[in-house]
Amino acid sequence: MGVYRRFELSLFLLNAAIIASLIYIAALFFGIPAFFRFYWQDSIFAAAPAILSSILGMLGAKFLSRWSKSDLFAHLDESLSEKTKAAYDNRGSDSVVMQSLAEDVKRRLSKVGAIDLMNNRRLSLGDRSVPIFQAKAGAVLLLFAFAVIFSQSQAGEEITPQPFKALTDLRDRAADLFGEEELPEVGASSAGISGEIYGKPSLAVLEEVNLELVLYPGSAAGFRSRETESMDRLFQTSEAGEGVAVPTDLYIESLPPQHREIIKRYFENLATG
Amino acid sequence: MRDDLINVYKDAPAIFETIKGEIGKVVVGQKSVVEQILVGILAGGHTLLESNPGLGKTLLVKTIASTTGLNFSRIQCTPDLMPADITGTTLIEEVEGSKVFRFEEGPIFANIVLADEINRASPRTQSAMLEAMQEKQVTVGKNTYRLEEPFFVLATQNPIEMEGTFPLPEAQLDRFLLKVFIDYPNQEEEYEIMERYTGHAEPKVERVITRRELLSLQQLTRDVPISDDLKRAAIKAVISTRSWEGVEYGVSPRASIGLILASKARALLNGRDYVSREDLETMARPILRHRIILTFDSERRGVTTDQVISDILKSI
Repeated sequence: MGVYRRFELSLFLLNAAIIASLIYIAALFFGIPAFFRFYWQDSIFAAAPAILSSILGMLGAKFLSRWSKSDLFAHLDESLSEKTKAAYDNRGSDSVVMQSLAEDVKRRLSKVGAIDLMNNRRLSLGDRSVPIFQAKAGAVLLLFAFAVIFSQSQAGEEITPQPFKALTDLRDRAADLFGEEELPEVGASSAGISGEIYGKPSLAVLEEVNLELVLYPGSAAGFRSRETESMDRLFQTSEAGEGVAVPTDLYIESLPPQHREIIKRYFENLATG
Repeated sequence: MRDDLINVYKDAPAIFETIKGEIGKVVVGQKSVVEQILVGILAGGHTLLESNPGLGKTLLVKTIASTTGLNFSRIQCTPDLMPADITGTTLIEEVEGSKVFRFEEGPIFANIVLADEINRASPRTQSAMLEAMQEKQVTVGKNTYRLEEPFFVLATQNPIEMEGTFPLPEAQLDRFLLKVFIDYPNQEEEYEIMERYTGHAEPKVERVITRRELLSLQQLTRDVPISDDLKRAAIKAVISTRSWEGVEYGVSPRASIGLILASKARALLNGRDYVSREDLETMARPILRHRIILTFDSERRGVTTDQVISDILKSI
């Protein structure tokens, strides 16, 4: 039965491939592979959806093989199938009839090859039927093709750090050449994008010096780390000032004196319901 | 004993062919009826034959009995038939000057009992057969007498002329393993019947099977293997009758046992060493038809139990 076992293993792998493909296509639909590629571009995690789909496919195929346990008897011709089932279910009996049946089954099964069992596994497609092995192999190819086409169609929509890398490099070079103040014009003009695309520059005040904080397109996409030399900074300590509690005006005191009483009564009535 | 069984098993196809051939000398056609009665005998069950008058019910039973080396008795049922007329009675006899009681066995003490027109017997007399049919024993007074194996009751009834009849109660119907309908012969068969019975010589049959062989065949019947799938199918069919639309009362577990036994017997009769689905489906009708009680509405609409069984078989 080595041939049959190989056939079963092939079927198991085909089932796994079908289930894995279906799961991966569903993941593509939700953009999960793109998400992983974006955040873990150069890492094994980028392939996590594919790996996970494969594992789930294997588990699904295992479950499927247990659930639809192969019935070898069904692949025999009808009379031999009934005969073999009866013999198998009564294998504990040693009656005269059972012995005769067992000998007959043994004789007839010796003429049955493993290939006979396989060829009988067919999938009905309307008026036609195809061997289930070939049908499953075809399904796997179709699903792979669909997954490839679907992922290619999504490739243009993916956002990866690569398109923005040129901008960030440009920005860094500009910073080196012109200093911080001229950075907007150089970076923006080189990229052909206005520096005010994100609105007016924000203003921050630090030790009475106005600082313009401008966000440029591309500068926020992705990140890069640079190693810088460490330097010692001196921190000045200052005495903590004593806080003075300033009482706030009561609400009632902010009201016109002539209306205070009536408003007070209103709220009292409101509180008592 | 095992050697006997092996020999009988080897000879079984030839025995059955000979029996069928002998019966065929007297009974024209009716092959399925003959098969079903033989199934009943192999399964050790009782058979109820139903047909219009003149279709050879009594002749068929007498012929089958003649082919076997078994004791045969006939009870012609009438409304005034008393239970003691069937079971037997205790007589006072004078032996060597003193009076002693002696039990005189009735016609029930035979291997094959033909209860002709059983529905003409009174319910009291019909119920006298209950114990014999189920327990294979007869109790008269304080004494219980075992009936000799094998023991079959082959009863006949006709569905017309219902006046003066007592339809069999469900409890008694349930004791019949099979209910067999005999239909009219076709034109060719009728011609053959006419040819055969209008000459001088009437066909005669020979005894072709011994009591011992028959008992061995009954034992072999129970040994015929059946797959678990078919057992489950039989149980499903039986259980379905209890909740089927248009059925007032379904069949009892006795029907499950009967269905499996009859299927085994049919397999053996047809020279097979296993039970096939065809055996099960063929035997379902004669086994279940008299055990299903239809609702009034179903009967009003002309639904028959055979139609219900066919629908159930399609569903399993």
